[in-house]
Amino acid sequence: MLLGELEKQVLEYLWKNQPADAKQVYSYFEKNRGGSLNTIQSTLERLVKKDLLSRVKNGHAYKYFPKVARQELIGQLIKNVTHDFVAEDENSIVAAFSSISSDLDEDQLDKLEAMIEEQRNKLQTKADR
Amino acid sequence: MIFGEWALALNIFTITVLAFIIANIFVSIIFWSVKSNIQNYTVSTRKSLLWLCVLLPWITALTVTLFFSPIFQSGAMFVWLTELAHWHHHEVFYFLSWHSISLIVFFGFSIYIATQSLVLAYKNHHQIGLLRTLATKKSENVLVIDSSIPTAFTGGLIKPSCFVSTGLIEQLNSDDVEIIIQHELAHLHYADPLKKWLFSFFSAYFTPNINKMLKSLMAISMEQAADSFFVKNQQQAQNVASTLVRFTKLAAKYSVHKQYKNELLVHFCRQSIEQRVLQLLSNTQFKPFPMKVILLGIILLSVISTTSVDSLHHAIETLFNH
Repeated sequence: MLLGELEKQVLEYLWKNQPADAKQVYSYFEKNRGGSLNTIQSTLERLVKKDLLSRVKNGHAYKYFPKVARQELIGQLIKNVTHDFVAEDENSIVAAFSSISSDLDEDQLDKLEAMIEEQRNKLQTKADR
Repeated sequence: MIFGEWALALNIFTITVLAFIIANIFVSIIFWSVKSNIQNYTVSTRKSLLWLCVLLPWITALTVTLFFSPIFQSGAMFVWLTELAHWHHHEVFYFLSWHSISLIVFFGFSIYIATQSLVLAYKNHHQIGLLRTLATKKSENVLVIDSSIPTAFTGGLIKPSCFVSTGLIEQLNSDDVEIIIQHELAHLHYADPLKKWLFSFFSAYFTPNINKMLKSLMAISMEQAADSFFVKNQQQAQNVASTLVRFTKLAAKYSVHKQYKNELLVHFCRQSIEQRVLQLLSNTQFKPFPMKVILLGIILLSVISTTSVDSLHHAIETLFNH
Protein backbone atom coordinates (compact mmCIF):
# COMPACT_ATOMS: atom_id res chain seq x y z
CA MET A 1 0.00 0.00 0.00
CA LEU A 2 1.45 3.35 -1.01
CA LEU A 3 0.67 6.47 1.03
CA GLY A 4 1.55 10.09 0.28
CA GLU A 5 3.01 12.43 2.90
CA LEU A 6 -0.29 14.26 3.57
CA GLU A 7 -2.18 10.97 3.68
CA LYS A 8 0.18 9.73 6.42
CA GLN A 9 -0.30 12.95 8.42
CA VAL A 10 -4.10 12.88 8.08
CA LEU A 11 -4.15 9.26 9.20
CA GLU A 12 -1.97 10.11 12.23
CA TYR A 13 -4.35 12.97 13.09
CA LEU A 14 -7.42 10.73 12.86
CA TRP A 15 -5.85 8.06 15.03
CA LYS A 16 -5.61 10.69 17.76
CA ASN A 17 -8.82 12.64 17.01
CA GLN A 18 -11.53 10.37 15.72
CA PRO A 19 -14.09 10.84 14.35
CA ALA A 20 -13.60 14.15 12.56
CA ASP A 21 -15.12 15.83 9.51
CA ALA A 22 -13.17 17.45 6.68
CA LYS A 23 -13.49 20.94 8.22
CA GLN A 24 -12.04 19.81 11.56
CA VAL A 25 -9.13 18.10 9.80
CA TYR A 26 -8.63 21.18 7.62
CA SER A 27 -8.62 23.58 10.58
CA TYR A 28 -5.84 21.53 12.19
CA PHE A 29 -3.70 21.34 9.04
CA GLU A 30 -4.38 24.97 8.07
CA LYS A 31 -2.48 26.05 11.20
CA ASN A 32 0.28 23.49 10.88
CA ARG A 33 1.04 23.13 7.18
CA GLY A 34 -1.38 25.24 5.12
CA GLY A 35 -3.25 23.88 2.08
CA SER A 36 -6.91 24.08 1.09
CA LEU A 37 -10.11 22.37 2.25
CA ASN A 38 -10.34 20.72 -1.19
CA THR A 39 -6.92 19.10 -0.73
CA ILE A 40 -7.96 17.73 2.66
CA GLN A 41 -11.29 16.46 1.26
CA SER A 42 -9.59 14.65 -1.62
CA THR A 43 -6.97 13.20 0.76
CA LEU A 44 -9.75 11.85 2.98
CA GLU A 45 -11.48 10.36 -0.08
CA ARG A 46 -8.28 8.67 -1.19
CA LEU A 47 -7.83 7.15 2.28
CA VAL A 48 -11.42 5.86 2.14
CA LYS A 49 -10.70 4.31 -1.28
CA LYS A 50 -7.52 2.73 0.13
CA ASP A 51 -9.73 1.13 2.79
CA LEU A 52 -7.92 2.90 5.63
CA LEU A 53 -10.81 5.20 6.62
CA SER A 54 -14.56 4.74 7.06
CA ARG A 55 -17.14 7.50 7.00
CA VAL A 56 -20.68 8.09 8.26
CA LYS A 57 -23.01 10.86 7.19
CA ASN A 58 -23.61 13.39 9.96
CA GLY A 59 -26.05 16.11 8.74
CA HIS A 60 -24.52 17.56 5.55
CA ALA A 61 -20.99 16.39 6.25
CA TYR A 62 -19.20 13.08 6.56
CA LYS A 63 -17.42 12.07 9.75
CA TYR A 64 -14.23 10.11 9.09
CA PHE A 65 -12.55 7.55 11.34
CA PRO A 66 -9.70 5.08 10.83
CA LYS A 67 -10.80 1.65 9.70
CA VAL A 68 -7.53 0.12 10.71
CA ALA A 69 -5.82 0.67 14.07
CA ARG A 70 -2.29 2.08 14.12
CA GLN A 71 -0.85 -1.19 15.48
CA GLU A 72 -2.68 -3.20 12.84
CA LEU A 73 -1.26 -1.08 10.02
CA ILE A 74 2.25 -1.36 11.45
CA GLY A 75 1.77 -5.14 11.73
CA GLN A 76 0.72 -5.28 8.07
CA LEU A 77 3.74 -3.21 7.01
CA ILE A 78 6.10 -5.41 9.04
CA LYS A 79 4.58 -8.45 7.37
CA ASN A 80 5.02 -6.89 3.92
CA VAL A 81 8.61 -5.75 4.29
CA THR A 82 9.79 -8.83 6.13
CA HIS A 83 8.27 -11.55 3.98
CA ASP A 84 11.84 -12.33 3.03
CA PHE A 85 12.50 -13.56 6.56
CA VAL A 86 11.72 -16.65 4.61
CA ALA A 87 15.00 -16.80 2.75
CA GLU A 88 13.42 -18.69 -0.11
CA ASP A 89 11.19 -15.83 -0.97
CA GLU A 90 12.31 -14.20 -4.18
CA ASN A 91 11.72 -10.66 -2.95
CA SER A 92 14.39 -10.44 -0.34
CA ILE A 93 15.62 -6.95 0.35
CA VAL A 94 15.55 -6.48 4.08
CA ALA A 95 18.12 -7.94 6.43
CA ALA A 96 16.37 -9.46 9.42
CA PHE A 97 17.82 -10.67 12.71
CA SER A 98 16.15 -14.06 12.52
CA SER A 99 13.69 -16.02 10.45
CA ILE A 100 10.22 -16.13 11.93
CA SER A 101 8.24 -19.31 11.96
CA SER A 102 5.72 -20.48 14.49
CA ASP A 103 6.63 -24.05 13.57
CA LEU A 104 10.28 -23.87 14.61
CA ASP A 105 11.32 -26.98 16.44
CA GLU A 106 11.48 -26.14 20.16
CA ASP A 107 13.61 -29.23 20.90
CA GLN A 108 16.18 -28.19 18.35
CA LEU A 109 16.42 -24.74 19.93
CA ASP A 110 16.77 -26.31 23.39
CA LYS A 111 19.63 -28.44 22.09
CA LEU A 112 21.35 -25.36 20.69
CA GLU A 113 20.87 -23.57 24.01
CA ALA A 114 22.41 -26.54 25.87
CA MET A 115 25.33 -26.55 23.45
CA ILE A 116 25.99 -22.84 24.10
CA GLU A 117 25.80 -23.42 27.84
CA GLU A 118 28.27 -26.31 27.59
CA GLN A 119 30.73 -24.12 25.66
CA ARG A 120 30.26 -21.35 28.21
CA ASN A 121 31.09 -23.74 31.07
CA LYS A 122 34.17 -24.99 29.23
CA LEU A 123 35.37 -21.43 28.75
CA GLN A 124 34.71 -20.67 32.42
CA THR A 125 36.66 -23.77 33.53
CA LYS A 126 39.57 -22.73 31.31
CA ALA A 127 39.52 -19.22 32.75
CA ASP A 128 39.45 -20.58 36.33
CA ARG A 129 42.57 -22.67 35.74
CA MET B 1 18.68 -7.04 -43.39
CA ILE B 2 21.09 -4.49 -41.91
CA PHE B 3 24.53 -3.62 -43.30
CA GLY B 4 27.55 -1.72 -42.07
CA GLU B 5 28.28 -0.46 -38.58
CA TRP B 6 24.81 -1.26 -37.18
CA ALA B 7 25.15 -4.83 -38.41
CA LEU B 8 28.57 -5.05 -36.74
CA ALA B 9 27.15 -3.71 -33.44
CA LEU B 10 24.18 -6.12 -33.50
CA ASN B 11 26.41 -9.09 -34.36
CA ILE B 12 28.73 -8.21 -31.48
CA PHE B 13 25.69 -8.02 -29.18
CA THR B 14 24.71 -11.51 -30.33
CA ILE B 15 28.21 -12.71 -29.43
CA THR B 16 27.80 -11.10 -25.97
CA VAL B 17 24.51 -12.93 -25.43
CA LEU B 18 25.92 -16.28 -26.62
CA ALA B 19 29.01 -15.90 -24.42
CA PHE B 20 26.78 -14.98 -21.47
CA ILE B 21 24.63 -18.10 -21.93
CA ILE B 22 27.67 -20.39 -22.30
CA ALA B 23 29.39 -18.85 -19.25
CA ASN B 24 26.15 -19.09 -17.27
CA ILE B 25 25.87 -22.82 -18.02
CA PHE B 26 29.50 -23.43 -17.01
CA VAL B 27 29.18 -21.37 -13.81
CA SER B 28 25.97 -23.26 -12.94
CA ILE B 29 27.70 -26.63 -13.39
CA ILE B 30 30.73 -25.54 -11.32
CA PHE B 31 28.51 -24.04 -8.59
CA TRP B 32 26.35 -27.17 -8.43
CA SER B 33 29.43 -29.40 -8.05
CA VAL B 34 31.16 -27.31 -5.34
CA LYS B 35 28.16 -25.88 -3.45
CA SER B 36 28.67 -28.09 -0.39
CA ASN B 37 32.34 -27.01 -0.05
CA ILE B 38 31.48 -23.33 0.12
CA GLN B 39 30.86 -23.64 3.91
CA ASN B 40 34.58 -24.35 4.38
CA TYR B 41 35.49 -20.77 3.53
CA THR B 42 35.38 -17.67 5.73
CA VAL B 43 32.15 -15.65 5.58
CA SER B 44 33.74 -12.79 3.64
CA THR B 45 35.26 -15.26 1.13
CA ARG B 46 31.90 -16.99 0.81
CA LYS B 47 30.24 -13.67 0.02
CA SER B 48 32.93 -12.80 -2.54
CA LEU B 49 32.62 -16.25 -4.17
CA LEU B 50 28.84 -15.89 -4.42
CA TRP B 51 29.20 -12.44 -5.98
CA LEU B 52 31.76 -13.88 -8.37
CA CYS B 53 29.30 -16.64 -9.32
CA VAL B 54 26.55 -14.20 -10.31
CA LEU B 55 28.90 -11.71 -11.98
CA LEU B 56 31.14 -14.16 -13.81
CA PRO B 57 28.77 -14.67 -16.78
CA TRP B 58 28.75 -10.87 -17.26
CA ILE B 59 32.54 -10.55 -16.92
CA THR B 60 33.07 -13.42 -19.35
CA ALA B 61 30.54 -12.01 -21.82
CA LEU B 62 32.32 -8.65 -21.76
CA THR B 63 35.76 -10.26 -22.17
CA VAL B 64 34.57 -12.33 -25.12
CA THR B 65 32.89 -9.26 -26.65
CA LEU B 66 36.13 -7.33 -26.30
CA PHE B 67 38.00 -10.16 -27.99
CA PHE B 68 35.53 -10.20 -30.91
CA SER B 69 35.60 -6.39 -31.16
CA PRO B 70 37.50 -4.71 -34.03
CA ILE B 71 40.45 -3.95 -31.68
CA PHE B 72 41.41 -7.60 -31.40
CA GLN B 73 40.09 -8.95 -34.67
CA SER B 74 42.11 -6.50 -36.80
CA GLY B 75 45.42 -6.50 -34.88
CA ALA B 76 48.23 -8.58 -36.44
CA MET B 77 49.57 -9.58 -33.03
CA PHE B 78 46.34 -11.44 -32.24
CA VAL B 79 46.36 -13.65 -35.33
CA TRP B 80 46.80 -16.80 -33.24
CA LEU B 81 43.71 -15.79 -31.27
CA THR B 82 41.57 -15.07 -34.31
CA GLU B 83 42.34 -18.53 -35.61
CA LEU B 84 40.57 -19.90 -32.53
CA ALA B 85 37.52 -17.72 -32.93
CA HIS B 86 36.68 -15.23 -35.66
CA TRP B 87 33.93 -13.16 -37.21
CA HIS B 88 31.34 -14.53 -39.56
CA HIS B 89 29.44 -12.23 -41.92
CA HIS B 90 29.90 -9.39 -39.42
CA GLU B 91 28.92 -6.79 -41.99
CA VAL B 92 25.40 -8.25 -42.40
CA PHE B 93 22.68 -8.74 -39.78
CA TYR B 94 19.58 -10.70 -40.71
CA PHE B 95 16.33 -9.84 -38.89
CA LEU B 96 14.88 -13.27 -39.50
CA SER B 97 17.71 -15.27 -38.02
CA TRP B 98 18.69 -17.00 -34.78
CA HIS B 99 20.90 -13.96 -34.11
CA SER B 100 17.96 -11.61 -33.74
CA ILE B 101 15.86 -14.19 -31.85
CA SER B 102 18.59 -14.66 -29.23
CA LEU B 103 18.92 -10.89 -28.89
CA ILE B 104 15.15 -10.39 -28.50
CA VAL B 105 14.81 -13.22 -25.93
CA PHE B 106 17.76 -11.96 -23.88
CA PHE B 107 16.69 -8.31 -23.85
CA GLY B 108 13.05 -9.27 -23.24
CA PHE B 109 14.06 -11.39 -20.25
CA SER B 110 16.38 -8.64 -18.95
CA ILE B 111 13.60 -6.04 -19.18
CA TYR B 112 11.25 -8.42 -17.32
CA ILE B 113 13.76 -8.96 -14.48
CA ALA B 114 14.67 -5.26 -14.30
CA THR B 115 10.98 -4.25 -14.14
CA GLN B 116 10.27 -6.78 -11.39
CA SER B 117 13.26 -5.53 -9.37
CA LEU B 118 12.31 -1.89 -9.81
CA VAL B 119 8.67 -2.49 -8.79
CA LEU B 120 9.89 -4.34 -5.71
CA ALA B 121 12.30 -1.51 -4.84
CA TYR B 122 9.56 1.10 -5.35
CA LYS B 123 7.07 -0.72 -3.10
CA ASN B 124 9.72 -1.37 -0.48
CA HIS B 125 10.79 2.29 -0.56
CA HIS B 126 7.21 3.40 0.22
CA GLN B 127 6.60 0.79 2.88
CA ILE B 128 9.87 1.55 4.66
CA GLY B 129 9.08 5.27 4.34
CA LEU B 130 5.69 4.72 5.96
CA LEU B 131 7.27 2.68 8.76
CA ARG B 132 9.80 5.49 9.31
CA THR B 133 6.94 7.99 9.65
CA LEU B 134 5.15 5.79 12.18
CA ALA B 135 8.30 5.01 14.18
CA THR B 136 10.10 6.92 16.91
CA LYS B 137 13.80 7.62 16.82
CA LYS B 138 15.98 5.69 19.29
CA SER B 139 19.36 6.78 17.95
CA GLU B 140 20.91 8.06 14.69
CA ASN B 141 19.98 5.01 12.56
CA VAL B 142 17.76 3.02 14.89
CA LEU B 143 13.98 3.43 14.92
CA VAL B 144 11.46 1.88 17.29
CA ILE B 145 8.17 0.69 15.83
CA ASP B 146 5.14 0.43 18.05
CA SER B 147 4.18 -3.21 17.56
CA SER B 148 3.74 -6.24 19.78
CA ILE B 149 5.37 -8.43 17.10
CA PRO B 150 8.94 -9.10 18.27
CA THR B 151 11.00 -8.12 15.27
CA ALA B 152 14.19 -6.41 14.19
CA PHE B 153 15.29 -5.73 10.64
CA THR B 154 17.20 -3.31 8.45
CA GLY B 155 15.38 -1.89 5.47
CA GLY B 156 15.76 0.82 2.83
CA LEU B 157 17.92 0.62 -0.26
CA ILE B 158 19.56 4.04 -0.43
CA LYS B 159 19.51 5.25 3.18
CA PRO B 160 18.76 2.15 5.24
CA SER B 161 17.41 2.27 8.80
CA CYS B 162 17.32 -0.33 11.55
CA PHE B 163 13.88 -1.09 12.95
CA VAL B 164 13.29 -2.66 16.35
CA SER B 165 9.77 -3.30 17.65
CA THR B 166 8.48 -2.45 21.13
CA GLY B 167 7.43 -6.12 21.40
CA LEU B 168 11.07 -7.13 21.12
CA ILE B 169 12.32 -4.46 23.56
CA GLU B 170 9.70 -5.44 26.16
CA GLN B 171 10.18 -9.19 25.94
CA LEU B 172 13.96 -9.51 25.80
CA ASN B 173 16.51 -8.22 28.29
CA SER B 174 18.51 -5.08 27.51
CA ASP B 175 21.72 -7.05 26.68
CA ASP B 176 19.86 -9.10 24.07
CA VAL B 177 18.29 -5.97 22.60
CA GLU B 178 21.73 -4.32 22.41
CA ILE B 179 23.19 -7.36 20.59
CA ILE B 180 20.27 -7.34 18.13
CA ILE B 181 20.72 -3.61 17.47
CA GLN B 182 24.47 -4.10 16.92
CA HIS B 183 23.65 -6.91 14.48
CA GLU B 184 21.26 -4.65 12.57
CA LEU B 185 23.81 -1.82 12.55
CA ALA B 186 26.27 -4.25 10.96
CA HIS B 187 23.73 -4.84 8.15
CA LEU B 188 23.48 -1.08 7.79
CA HIS B 189 27.29 -0.76 7.70
CA TYR B 190 27.52 -3.38 4.93
CA ALA B 191 24.55 -1.82 3.03
CA ASP B 192 23.02 -5.32 2.97
CA PRO B 193 19.48 -4.40 1.77
CA LEU B 194 20.91 -2.79 -1.40
CA LYS B 195 23.37 -5.64 -1.92
CA LYS B 196 20.60 -8.22 -1.44
CA TRP B 197 18.50 -6.43 -4.02
CA LEU B 198 21.36 -6.26 -6.55
CA PHE B 199 22.34 -9.86 -5.87
CA SER B 200 18.80 -11.10 -6.49
CA PHE B 201 18.77 -9.19 -9.80
CA PHE B 202 21.94 -10.92 -11.04
CA SER B 203 21.03 -14.34 -9.65
CA ALA B 204 17.68 -14.21 -11.50
CA TYR B 205 19.60 -15.13 -14.70
CA PHE B 206 20.20 -18.62 -13.31
CA THR B 207 17.77 -21.55 -13.27
CA PRO B 208 15.17 -21.33 -10.42
CA ASN B 209 16.97 -24.03 -8.36
CA ILE B 210 20.35 -22.36 -8.54
CA ASN B 211 18.83 -18.90 -8.08
CA LYS B 212 17.14 -20.05 -4.85
CA MET B 213 20.30 -21.71 -3.56
CA LEU B 214 22.50 -18.71 -4.39
CA LYS B 215 20.14 -16.35 -2.58
CA SER B 216 19.82 -18.65 0.44
CA LEU B 217 23.60 -18.95 0.75
CA MET B 218 24.02 -15.19 0.40
CA ALA B 219 21.28 -14.50 2.99
CA ILE B 220 22.92 -16.83 5.53
CA SER B 221 26.38 -15.41 4.80
CA MET B 222 25.10 -11.87 5.33
CA GLU B 223 23.52 -12.87 8.63
CA GLN B 224 26.72 -14.63 9.75
CA ALA B 225 28.81 -11.59 8.80
CA ALA B 226 26.48 -9.36 10.85
CA ASP B 227 26.51 -11.85 13.75
CA SER B 228 30.28 -11.66 14.07
CA PHE B 229 30.74 -7.97 13.16
CA PHE B 230 31.14 -6.79 16.76
CA VAL B 231 32.37 -10.10 18.17
CA LYS B 232 35.92 -9.82 19.52
CA ASN B 233 36.20 -12.89 21.74
CA GLN B 234 34.63 -16.28 22.40
CA GLN B 235 32.46 -14.99 25.23
CA GLN B 236 30.86 -12.35 23.00
CA ALA B 237 30.26 -15.00 20.33
CA GLN B 238 28.44 -17.15 22.90
CA ASN B 239 26.33 -14.17 23.94
CA VAL B 240 25.30 -13.52 20.33
CA ALA B 241 24.47 -17.23 19.89
CA SER B 242 22.34 -17.20 23.08
CA THR B 243 20.49 -14.08 21.94
CA LEU B 244 19.84 -15.65 18.57
CA VAL B 245 18.27 -18.74 20.15
CA ARG B 246 16.25 -16.70 22.67
CA PHE B 247 14.98 -14.37 19.94
CA THR B 248 14.07 -17.27 17.66
CA LYS B 249 12.14 -18.92 20.51
CA LEU B 250 10.27 -15.69 21.13
CA ALA B 251 9.62 -15.04 17.44
CA ALA B 252 8.36 -18.59 16.98
CA LYS B 253 5.42 -17.80 19.27
CA TYR B 254 4.17 -15.18 16.84
CA SER B 255 2.70 -16.51 13.66
CA VAL B 256 2.82 -13.52 11.37
CA HIS B 257 3.72 -15.74 8.43
CA LYS B 258 1.03 -18.39 8.52
CA GLN B 259 1.07 -18.69 4.74
CA TYR B 260 4.64 -19.97 4.85
CA LYS B 261 4.01 -22.89 7.17
CA ASN B 262 5.47 -25.85 5.38
CA GLU B 263 8.10 -28.48 6.01
CA LEU B 264 10.67 -26.97 3.67
CA LEU B 265 10.53 -23.62 5.43
CA VAL B 266 10.79 -25.09 8.89
CA HIS B 267 13.76 -27.13 7.79
CA PHE B 268 15.39 -24.12 6.20
CA CYS B 269 14.86 -21.85 9.21
CA ARG B 270 16.18 -24.46 11.58
CA GLN B 271 19.18 -25.05 9.40
CA SER B 272 19.98 -21.36 9.13
CA ILE B 273 19.73 -20.79 12.89
CA GLU B 274 21.81 -23.92 13.50
CA GLN B 275 24.42 -22.80 10.99
CA ARG B 276 24.66 -19.37 12.57
CA VAL B 277 24.95 -20.70 16.13
CA LEU B 278 27.50 -23.34 15.11
CA GLN B 279 29.54 -20.74 13.21
CA LEU B 280 29.60 -18.50 16.30
CA LEU B 281 30.69 -21.35 18.58
CA SER B 282 33.12 -22.90 16.15
CA ASN B 283 36.92 -22.67 16.42
CA THR B 284 37.44 -24.09 12.94
CA GLN B 285 40.03 -22.42 10.76
CA PHE B 286 38.21 -21.52 7.57
CA LYS B 287 39.92 -21.45 4.19
CA PRO B 288 40.99 -18.06 2.76
CA PHE B 289 40.04 -16.77 -0.70
CA PRO B 290 41.33 -19.22 -3.35
CA MET B 291 42.86 -16.50 -5.55
CA LYS B 292 44.92 -18.75 -7.87
CA VAL B 293 42.06 -21.17 -8.52
CA ILE B 294 39.68 -18.31 -9.22
CA LEU B 295 42.06 -16.53 -11.62
CA LEU B 296 42.72 -19.78 -13.47
CA GLY B 297 38.97 -20.43 -13.57
CA ILE B 298 38.22 -16.99 -15.04
CA ILE B 299 40.89 -17.41 -17.76
CA LEU B 300 39.66 -20.94 -18.58
CA LEU B 301 36.05 -19.81 -18.65
CA SER B 302 36.91 -16.92 -21.01
CA VAL B 303 38.80 -19.25 -23.37
CA ILE B 304 36.06 -21.91 -23.26
CA SER B 305 33.35 -19.30 -23.87
CA THR B 306 35.28 -17.68 -26.73
CA THR B 307 35.87 -20.94 -28.55
CA SER B 308 32.37 -22.20 -27.73
CA VAL B 309 30.79 -19.07 -29.23
CA ASP B 310 32.60 -19.79 -32.50
CA SER B 311 31.82 -23.52 -32.44
CA LEU B 312 28.20 -22.90 -31.49
CA HIS B 313 27.92 -20.39 -34.32
CA HIS B 314 29.25 -22.97 -36.79
CA ALA B 315 26.95 -25.69 -35.41
CA ILE B 316 23.79 -23.57 -35.54
CA GLU B 317 24.48 -22.19 -38.99
CA THR B 318 25.29 -25.65 -40.35
CA LEU B 319 21.98 -26.92 -38.96
CA PHE B 320 19.72 -24.01 -39.91
CA ASN B 321 21.64 -22.06 -42.54
CA HIS B 322 20.00 -18.89 -41.09
